[in-house]
Amino acid sequence: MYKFTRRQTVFAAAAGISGLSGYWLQSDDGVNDDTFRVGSPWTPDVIDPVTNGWLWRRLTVLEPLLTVDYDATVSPGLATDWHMVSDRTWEFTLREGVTFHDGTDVTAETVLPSLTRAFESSSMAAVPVESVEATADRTITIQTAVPFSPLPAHCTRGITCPVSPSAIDSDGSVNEPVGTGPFQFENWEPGSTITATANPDYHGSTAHIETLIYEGITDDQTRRLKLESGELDMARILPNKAADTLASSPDLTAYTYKIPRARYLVFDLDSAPFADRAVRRAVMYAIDRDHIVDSLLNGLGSKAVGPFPSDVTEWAAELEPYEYSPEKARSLLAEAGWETNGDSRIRDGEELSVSIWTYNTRPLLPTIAEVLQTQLQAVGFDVDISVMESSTIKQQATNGEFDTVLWSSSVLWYPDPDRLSDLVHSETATMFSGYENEAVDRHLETARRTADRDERFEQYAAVQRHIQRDLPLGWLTYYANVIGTRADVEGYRPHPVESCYHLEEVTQQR
Amino acid sequence: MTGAELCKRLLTMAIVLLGVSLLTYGLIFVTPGDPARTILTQQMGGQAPSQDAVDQFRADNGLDDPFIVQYARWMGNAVQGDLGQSYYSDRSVSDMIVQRLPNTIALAVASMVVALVIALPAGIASASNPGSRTDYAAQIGSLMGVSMPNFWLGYLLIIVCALRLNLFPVAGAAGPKYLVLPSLTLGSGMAAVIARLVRTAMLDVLDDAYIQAARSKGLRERIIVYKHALRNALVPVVTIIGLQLSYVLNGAVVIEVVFQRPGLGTLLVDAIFARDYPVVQGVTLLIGVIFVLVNFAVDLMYSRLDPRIDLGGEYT
Repeated sequence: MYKFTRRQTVFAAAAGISGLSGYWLQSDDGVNDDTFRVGSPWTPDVIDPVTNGWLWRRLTVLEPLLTVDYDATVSPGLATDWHMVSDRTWEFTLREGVTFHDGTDVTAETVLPSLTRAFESSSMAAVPVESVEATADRTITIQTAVPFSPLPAHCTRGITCPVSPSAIDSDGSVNEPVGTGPFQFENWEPGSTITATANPDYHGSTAHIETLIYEGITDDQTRRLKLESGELDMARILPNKAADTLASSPDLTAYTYKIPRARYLVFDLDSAPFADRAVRRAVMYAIDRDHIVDSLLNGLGSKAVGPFPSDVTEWAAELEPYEYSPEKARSLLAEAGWETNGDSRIRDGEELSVSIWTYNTRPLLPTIAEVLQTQLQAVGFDVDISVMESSTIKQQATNGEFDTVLWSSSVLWYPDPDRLSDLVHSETATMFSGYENEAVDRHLETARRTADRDERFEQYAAVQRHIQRDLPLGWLTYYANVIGTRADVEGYRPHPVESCYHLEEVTQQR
Repeated sequence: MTGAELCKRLLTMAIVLLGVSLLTYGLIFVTPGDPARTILTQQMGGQAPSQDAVDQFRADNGLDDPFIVQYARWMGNAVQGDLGQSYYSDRSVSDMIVQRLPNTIALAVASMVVALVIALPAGIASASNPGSRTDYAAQIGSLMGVSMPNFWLGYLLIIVCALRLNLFPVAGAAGPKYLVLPSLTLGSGMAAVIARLVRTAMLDVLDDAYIQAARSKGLRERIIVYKHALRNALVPVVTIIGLQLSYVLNGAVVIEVVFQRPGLGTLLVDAIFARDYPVVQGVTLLIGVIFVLVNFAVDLMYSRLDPRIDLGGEYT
């Protein structure tokens, strides 16, 4: 009797489970055939463009006044024309016939509230904008406190993207990104997904994709597995080592392309041993960057000479590279008074021991630090590695002594070489080498005031040569991005500055 | 429980929660990493903010005030039910928690169900026939369950069940089917611990004199095991299930990241990395409240399962 009951129970349970799983497997996630899913590491937690404009811009829900072209230069966006009226005044002429997603016309009046919010926000505190005005129906006039050539480049940033005045609440907050882009906001799950649909009234060519779902997936393995299982049509920022396996699968396509982002060492110029330029030069000669690119980066990316990769942007100056030469490194150290003592070196009884600080949110940095450790030990450095959080490094390096930090950052996140001011200007730099060079400051300030492109290039080239000689920063490698899509995705063109995914150009055959 | 006891109990809970909040606030405060810099960096898509921006942010959010002023301001609002606004997103912390909580509760409940469904039969079978093949199999199984790291098992299940067999989705939280793999991952680890405990507790109870007496009366073994022994063996098991709730919350952090579930775990981790103090504090306080309440519930359950235990915890 009992056995019979148990069998019955097992049978019923099995039937129940299979029935339920059948239901689950068929249950609708709101995904249709014309839905395109893209996954990247950043989870959407905020609607407001002042905080999260870069994400809305990447999805082309919002569009800025000016955009960035595929050659990393400033190009027309919502404004078709922009020019300097006087050395502190800029005029932007808005495109005609553009409407926000809610039907409101894009005019100087309707764009003004968004621009004012953006330039008043703390993220834009370093941009010396004094006033923003609507001076004609389609003319926006921006006054800066000092002559400031990089202004157009800052107008490509997501934070400046206009939203319809109806989207700005009375308390000044934005609760829906009502922009002008080829996709319009539909829905979001904070911390998880954004849904957008094609905007049929777009002023350019309309999107081929009907529905776009963006998923924030922090773990890169999960992103890749979701792409493989068909839950994503595009997975962004995958590990370099994924490129080969993606390329070998008939269902998937791998895109690898260079971006203006560099890995570099920041030296502390205020304390021993790196206060001595010869020691910094010795480090640069001791590093075999080809080996790092081949063995750790899977051959993607390339060794860096200066801040800007010349195959991505035209702002790279001709610089004398530090070629791998352990002998030269050893002789520089010996000349600087660091005598060999067994495996290490000493000077005035002190050992040549240094620490490299780095962080792991950019996955390869700690591994690269280990390679640096081995290569530097070969010429007599005693190297110790600390992996900390990037904000901790920043705080400790800004406020105290350190030896060197292995850091990585975009060198053109707004497409203007004034970015060098963030790295090496003695007063405004956000990097922490403590570099002070009057000539460099003068070049940077002159370049900011100069309108002529060629003259600016000369100024920035001079800055790059100073950095190359003085080595407050030592350039190691440039980045390549790895993006995977399903094989049936067509029309995707990777953008070097990644400010836009341009998914409106993508088609998918199913 | 008398009224006085209840008051005493509530007071202790309040003190514990106050201690938890002071400790976490203090620990985050002394952890290096400046919230202004970290949050602005995030807002600027990963770029370093200028010093002007940092100063403005600090002033806007009262971050220049001394520790005790910041803590007192936060606590003052918290006791009035206002957990503040996230520094990063400007959204209300309570809203963020309310929106994420269901995902974590669903994961916790499903994992606990998975754990019990595996652990109780395995533990009982193992204790009923000590030294048998079933016993060894169950013990080896639970040793594996205890030793396997969560994230590893998670990826394994994804590769086998989602990629090879195509039975379940890899990750997300769009429906019930998204719950299966995460709860199996988290539940199997707990099952291992609970099964071992059920086995030990059952073996203890099965040795007791009253069980011998029941056997000598000729009662059927199944009735002895399920009707007489199990109830008493459940007392320590209930405790461990309560304690396992902490495991669920810890485990949820890893599992939620691997399976990309927007829950409390991911909220907390993101907030810690962002130095988003109000969110870290809000979530920690909530987890503290859950712990205190679970402990209280476990105590109440004791006296239900074994009337000899009173709430003072002494045998009468």
